[in-house]
Amino acid sequence: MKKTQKEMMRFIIFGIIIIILSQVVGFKRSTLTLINTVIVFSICAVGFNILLGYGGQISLGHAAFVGLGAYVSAYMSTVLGLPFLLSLLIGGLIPMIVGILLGLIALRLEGHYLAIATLGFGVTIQQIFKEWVGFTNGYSGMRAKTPEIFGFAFKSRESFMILAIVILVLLCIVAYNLLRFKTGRAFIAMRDSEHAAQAMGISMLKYKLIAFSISAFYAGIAGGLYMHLIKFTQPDQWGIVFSLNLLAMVVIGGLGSIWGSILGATFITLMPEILKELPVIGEIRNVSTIVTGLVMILIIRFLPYGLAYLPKQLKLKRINKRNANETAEVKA
Amino acid sequence: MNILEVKNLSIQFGGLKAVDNLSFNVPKKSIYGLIGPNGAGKTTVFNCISRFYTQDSGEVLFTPNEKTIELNKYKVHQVASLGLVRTFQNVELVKTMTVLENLMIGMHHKTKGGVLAQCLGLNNVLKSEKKNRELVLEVLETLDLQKYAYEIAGAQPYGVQKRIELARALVSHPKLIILDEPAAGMNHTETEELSHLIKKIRDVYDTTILLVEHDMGLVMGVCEKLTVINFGKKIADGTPAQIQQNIAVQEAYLGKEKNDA
Repeated sequence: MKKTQKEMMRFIIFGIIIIILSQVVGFKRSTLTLINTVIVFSICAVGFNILLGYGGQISLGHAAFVGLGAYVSAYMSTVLGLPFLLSLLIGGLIPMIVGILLGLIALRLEGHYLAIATLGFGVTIQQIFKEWVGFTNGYSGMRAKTPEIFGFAFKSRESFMILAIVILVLLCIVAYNLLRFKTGRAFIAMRDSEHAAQAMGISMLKYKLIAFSISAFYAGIAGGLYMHLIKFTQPDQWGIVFSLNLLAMVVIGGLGSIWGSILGATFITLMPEILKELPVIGEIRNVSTIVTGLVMILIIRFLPYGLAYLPKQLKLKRINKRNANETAEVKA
Repeated sequence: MNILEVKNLSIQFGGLKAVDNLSFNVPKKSIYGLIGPNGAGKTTVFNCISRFYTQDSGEVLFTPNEKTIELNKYKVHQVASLGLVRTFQNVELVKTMTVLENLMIGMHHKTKGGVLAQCLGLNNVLKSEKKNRELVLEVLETLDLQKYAYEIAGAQPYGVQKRIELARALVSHPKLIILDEPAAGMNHTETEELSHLIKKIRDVYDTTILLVEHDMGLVMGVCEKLTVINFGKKIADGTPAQIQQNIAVQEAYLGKEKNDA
């Protein structure tokens, strides 16, 4: 009981610190946009981690869900003129329904085959974004209006950040709750031993669908927020590169860790901007993609559980070393 | 009264008859053994009963209470909630979880609360969680595993892992537990302990146990009735004493004696 409350408080305190920092320090507008993007991508990374890190199901087409959330929410709020929160919710629910369809595919496929199928799914949805001009406005791109809740317009980057961080903290708590009970255990059992899970009465159909639909919901919400932050989108954004970045976020940050997802999203989003500022390196084209790949290889080789587990891993190493020293002393 | 009736069960894999017209009945509250030489089809029978495989013909009738259920009508994940739980030949624990969490998975079908209620951490979810945790700790104590409760399951020695799997099967109080080679990979002392444990489980939890086993010492000591199969066919059944005298069984295990004289 105590431990779970502490964990929830951590999410809330984290949110408050970010808000205070952003209001007090007085960042440049571009920096604030960047931090907002980090928050928004953290949301889809958390959702993706539920799918990959806990459920053990791979998806290489997740950008499609984020894109779908962006288009649907913008269409609802800007074209149909629905309230922002409702649009955002619909922008989460429609990808969720599409996610259920993808979950049905996943039931029959696993491993490489699932990766290929979801990749195909992502490409298909992106093509639909390009072709269905009536809905998405094709390559000319789609615009969104300023989000407004009960008459308050989130016009400045500072105010938008409060909105984004509140949603991130809420969704982190929801994910944390979901994962610490029955569903979380069923996900891990499904990931580690399908046979054991089935023998214990866990339905693969049910939990694969839950995993895909929840992560698609998170992706859709992130897409909707991103759209109302940047206020412009076009189909090229939601392709394979973004799907792979999402995968990189989760792998680098830490599979099966909510904090790891946030850490990974921060790393992947900020790294290209920091590299750009560096002399010489900054001038190489696509240097960030190269660095992402390198970091992923290094992480998988040396920190298989991701950055989030680094402190734990160091601690274990220290304990092992001390034990080894003690045995050596005894022998001497 | 029989809790499990296997009637004319047959299954074929690409022309090979793994189980051929097999029938046997498991009486309620008994410890029943299914034995046979390597490759006789014992595990296949188990997989048919627990719905991992679907048989080509024949039926499996399960009578947990008064009503008889035809298992063929249920999906593999529904079997546990009917009151039939199995273990595996190669321990199938969730290795990254603690022992306690592994047993909580055993309680899965008895855990209440929908997905939304879990997301919000509602009271009924917390209550069900707390109640199950107490039940799990109780079972761990009965099996003398309480000191491992918060340890990672995959880090435990093999013998302990086998006991954890047994505990996980037990925790939801099933009417029938089927054990696939519970003594595989155990040494003599561990096997002896296991036979005491199996008897204790039957008595304390008031359940029926069906087991597949190689280890003759365990089978003869613990089982009340046996069915012997070879090449998927039944060759004998009866009490351990009867089976030991059976010539067909001796031939299946030791080979035919040549009498040329």
